[in-house]
Amino acid sequence: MRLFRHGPVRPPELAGPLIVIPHPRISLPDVAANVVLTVVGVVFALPLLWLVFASVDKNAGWYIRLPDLSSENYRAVLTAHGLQPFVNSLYLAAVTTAVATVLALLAAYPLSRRHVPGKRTVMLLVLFASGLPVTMMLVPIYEMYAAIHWLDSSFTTSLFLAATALPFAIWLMKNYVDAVPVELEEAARIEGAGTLRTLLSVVLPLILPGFSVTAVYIFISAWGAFVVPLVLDANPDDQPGTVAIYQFLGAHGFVQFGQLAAFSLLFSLPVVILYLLIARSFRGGFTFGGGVRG
Amino acid sequence: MADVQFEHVYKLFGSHPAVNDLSLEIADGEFLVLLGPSGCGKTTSLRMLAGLERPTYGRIAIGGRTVNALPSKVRDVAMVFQNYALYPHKTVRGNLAFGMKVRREPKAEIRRQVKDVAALLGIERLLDHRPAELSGGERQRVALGRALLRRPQVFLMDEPLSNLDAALRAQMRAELIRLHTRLKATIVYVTHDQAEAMTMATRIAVMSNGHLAQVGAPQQIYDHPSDLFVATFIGLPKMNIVTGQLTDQEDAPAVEILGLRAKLNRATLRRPDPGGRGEVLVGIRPEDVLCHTNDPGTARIDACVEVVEPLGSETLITARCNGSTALVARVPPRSPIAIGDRILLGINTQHLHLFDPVTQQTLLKPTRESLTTTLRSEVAAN
Repeated sequence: MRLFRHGPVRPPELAGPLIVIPHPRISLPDVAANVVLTVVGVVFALPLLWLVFASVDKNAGWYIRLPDLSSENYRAVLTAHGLQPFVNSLYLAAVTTAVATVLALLAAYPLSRRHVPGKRTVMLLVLFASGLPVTMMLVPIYEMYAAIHWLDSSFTTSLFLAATALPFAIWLMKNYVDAVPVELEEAARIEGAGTLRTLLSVVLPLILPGFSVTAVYIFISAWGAFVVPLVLDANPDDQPGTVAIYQFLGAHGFVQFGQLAAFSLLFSLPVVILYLLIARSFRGGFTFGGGVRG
Repeated sequence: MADVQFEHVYKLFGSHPAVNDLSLEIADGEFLVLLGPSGCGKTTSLRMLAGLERPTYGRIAIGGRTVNALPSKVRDVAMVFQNYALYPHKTVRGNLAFGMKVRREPKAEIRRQVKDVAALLGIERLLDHRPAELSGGERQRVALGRALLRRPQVFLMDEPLSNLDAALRAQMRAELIRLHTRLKATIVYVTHDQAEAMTMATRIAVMSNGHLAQVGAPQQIYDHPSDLFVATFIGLPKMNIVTGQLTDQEDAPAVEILGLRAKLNRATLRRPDPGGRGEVLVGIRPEDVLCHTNDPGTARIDACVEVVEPLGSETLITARCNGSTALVARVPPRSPIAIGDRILLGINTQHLHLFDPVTQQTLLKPTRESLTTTLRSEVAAN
């Protein structure tokens, strides 16, 4: 509808009467809400801004300032340890994710489908277990690991990380498995598929978005694990990025902000990329189109 | 193909008996329909046969072999679900081939058989589509194809047509009948639609509240229902049920309904002396309620038309007699009857059904002998 100085001009194609509804006026609560959200957004964005600025700043401080652009920080970070901390983090996170997702799926399937005696109690225990702070368990775990000679190994550390990730992972997976219509599994059963075959050929492909969500969640939390690898693995070659970053804080009495920022930025990059990749697959939705009517 | 036996099968969910002492024999090659309203235990019985539920008591056998403890895959059955249950992440081809792949059959054989079944059901052009892209009828065909490829001893179908529209349902009914004839397959089919049961079954097993009410050929059940439930469940529109009086006049039993009396043939009654005076429930099918009869001697009932339903091929009218009882009658199409008309109804007493008001069982023997000795009903003398 073209608007001239004299008001709306009706284009010839529109036949019936045109009803014009005036745009609702902006209300005060809307304005207030937007202001609050902007403030919150800024509060979150500012530290990230510092991160970016400081990482390229030759003389970075703890405050935000326009950077004296230089790639020195990145060079220093990469030459000091190379990519070893990243590789270590990757190994830790990958093993944790692999172990935890497989075990969670195998646990979630019978919990979802079979009549397990005391199922409700088990699920509640699982839920509460996922709320237990890891630091509470660290001392006894350290003692146990020392006793069975499992200290100072990346692999055993990631096993513990997987164990702590399990409760939440089982809870998540069970809910995804619940959403798969039972008839599909019954049909597979009648066709001769055993439990494992049904799980892998029918259930898993259908919960792939949910499975990926769980895997990414575990990966991200394992990537950011600090206390556990710090305590259980004293081997300097095994240090993940989270522990390596420590060195920038007070190793020589003062903080190298620039290098700290550069390292942090590099370290967050894989997680951000992973998240972006996964987010796209969510938009496909969780529907089982055509499989089951209704 | 194989025969199936249910021997005193019970299924209890907690203390509630979903299936209550079901004993049924299904012959090899039979198309048996389990018919009944929701909750009557027909789907539970089918699932027990499939191996998806275990009977609480009793024995189920396929081909003479007890299958109670056998898992589904060993029972050699195939099931078509009401909701199709197609694997949404696989193509039609993948859905059809899945079972054979699981059973490790050779690839060339799988390809060939999938092609043949797809051709049989007319879904070849859909082989590379996913279930989400198909219409309801096409999905049902894929589900059927999957069952065919199983090459089972018994086909199990759980209301497969109930999610299709009327026209498609009629078409699929005909296809299923053709398939049955061609494959000489043993089919156990569950439905709540009595028209489906009547048209497709070689025998119908009517179930109610977990019990088997009656089993027999469609026409047999229609003509000789064993109790009130079967009589009113089979036949659309429903059988008219009227309260009548049994009398003994001139040493012959007779029944009085709606001011008319019909003499009964003793040979057709279960108890030769029906206990003299007693109330009885009389069933009259709508086609036995006559609107135009040329027989001058037949007594008529005065009735006022309340509802007229023209179906095209015939018209159903509901008329209230004597101000209290409503009767549904079938009349030829294009009958000039309108709501509010006063008409005279006659009753074809050859096909009256009598039921005990307490036990609801039929009082008739399932014989060919005619029920009434008199073709005409006489006006009750009073």
